Amino acid sequence: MKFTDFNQSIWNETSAYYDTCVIPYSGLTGNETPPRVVQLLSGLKERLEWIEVPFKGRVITYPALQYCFEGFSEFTNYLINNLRSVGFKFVILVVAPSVIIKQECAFDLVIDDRNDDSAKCKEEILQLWRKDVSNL
Amino acid sequence: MKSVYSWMDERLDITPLWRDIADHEVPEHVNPAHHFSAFVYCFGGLTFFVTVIQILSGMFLTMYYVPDIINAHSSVDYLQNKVAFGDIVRGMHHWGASLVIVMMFLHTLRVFFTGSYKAPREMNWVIGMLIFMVMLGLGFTGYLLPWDNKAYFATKVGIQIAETAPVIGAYIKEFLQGGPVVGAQTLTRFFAIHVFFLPAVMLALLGGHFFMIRKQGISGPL
Amino acid sequence: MSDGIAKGHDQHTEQSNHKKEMSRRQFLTYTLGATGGFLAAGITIPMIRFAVDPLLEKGEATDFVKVTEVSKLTTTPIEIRFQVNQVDGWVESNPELIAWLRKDEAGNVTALSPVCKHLGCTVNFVSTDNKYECPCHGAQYTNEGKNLKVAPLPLDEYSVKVDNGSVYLGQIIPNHLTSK
Repeated sequence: MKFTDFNQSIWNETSAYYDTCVIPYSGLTGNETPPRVVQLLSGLKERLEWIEVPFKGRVITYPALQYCFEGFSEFTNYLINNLRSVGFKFVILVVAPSVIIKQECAFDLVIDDRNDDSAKCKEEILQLWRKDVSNL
Repeated sequence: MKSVYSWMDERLDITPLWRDIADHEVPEHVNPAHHFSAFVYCFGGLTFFVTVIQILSGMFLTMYYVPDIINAHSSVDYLQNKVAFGDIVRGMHHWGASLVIVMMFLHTLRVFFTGSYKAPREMNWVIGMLIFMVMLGLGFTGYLLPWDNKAYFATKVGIQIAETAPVIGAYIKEFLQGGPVVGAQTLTRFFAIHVFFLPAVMLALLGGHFFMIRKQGISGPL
Repeated sequence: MSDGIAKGHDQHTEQSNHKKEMSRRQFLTYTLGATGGFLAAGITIPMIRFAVDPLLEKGEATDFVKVTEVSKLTTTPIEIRFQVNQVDGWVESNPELIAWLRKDEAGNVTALSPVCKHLGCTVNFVSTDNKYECPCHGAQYTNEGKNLKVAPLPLDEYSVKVDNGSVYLGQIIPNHLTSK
């Protein structure tokens, strides 16, 4: 589901089931022409759909991070900590095609060009969730 | 055909009904065959003819049209471009709307310059003026329905003009708009007024108009 | 009897005489009628054609979509993706749908929609357990879609039509297999 699908009463009823948060990241530098931006963002949207559709009942897509910026790892660590304190167990970053994350970051999973395939991406998420079960 | 008619007539005696309506002489001064200039007497009939076309084409248009801000424009676009003869039926209604005003105006001029509004026909002049206003109302409300830019802003301006009326202006605006802005409420409101209320009023007035002209006869020659 | 026939004959010859010399009144009636009819037709025919357009439209979009052959199905469900092109006036949608198809022991074809009845994730068939399992919260369903765990309702079905060895899928309907 998307964050926009929730209101207070839906959240009160179902928050226990949504333990995974997805942050889209466009990673734009400002060098992109408008058609290139369209291409990148539609690629990002496609990746998001690989996750949003099959895992609709467990995953919430949050508002996106736009543009690359200084201090990415510090900021995302801060973000992830806060998200965990809201109750999310897993935080997944979904990156627009051809964007590379060089910095260290604390996401449980990063979907980028390395797992650029719907089946692979699904499998990684399932593995993430399975790991959690085996930890218990 | 004939036998069906006579079968009906035997039982219901319908002949006198239509004879009463149809059988009346056309006075010489109104007949273009005698004086060609008498064609000016046709404008009333032509107005009615175009009105009939408006009613018919309007009825057919509502088969596809949806009075709702999300679908209105797409439904008009669909019926005009995708449905067979859609452009013709919508064209009839669109151009007919202008034509009916033109015809009505010419009819009014004829009545004015032949002095036909004088006693004993003053009442019919008044009814005619009411029909004129209803027609303008139909034009105004119908203009909004395609819900495109032109329609939207024309209505906005129209409502702003109405608002300038002293004392009641604000109420008229509120009544027409149905809400704080020209939007969803205005569209359904205008649709209802355009399709149900004004046509009903118009038909009643037309009935009165025709009844009086039959009763009083057409005005004499100049 | 013979009298009547003779009369009819007489009338007939009378009428054909009339036709030769059409009266002025008749001519005017016919001309007026024809002109009026032409005008009326010019107005009403476009409108009627406009109104009946849905009837004359080529029925390209049927309710059912062909997805596979019966011979390819077994008692183990297989996943099939298909596209439905729905054009409803100016509303057009082109959703890709997933169905899990299976042939039961009696040879009846059934198609289940893999949308979990719990919170809408997509379930998968796990052949080792012979069950549908949901990756999100562990809901489980039998191969007929009956809900075993977590989910409150059985999986929905597609209405299925088998014609000439081909399988056609239609609307999604509530599961009726499990109520038997």
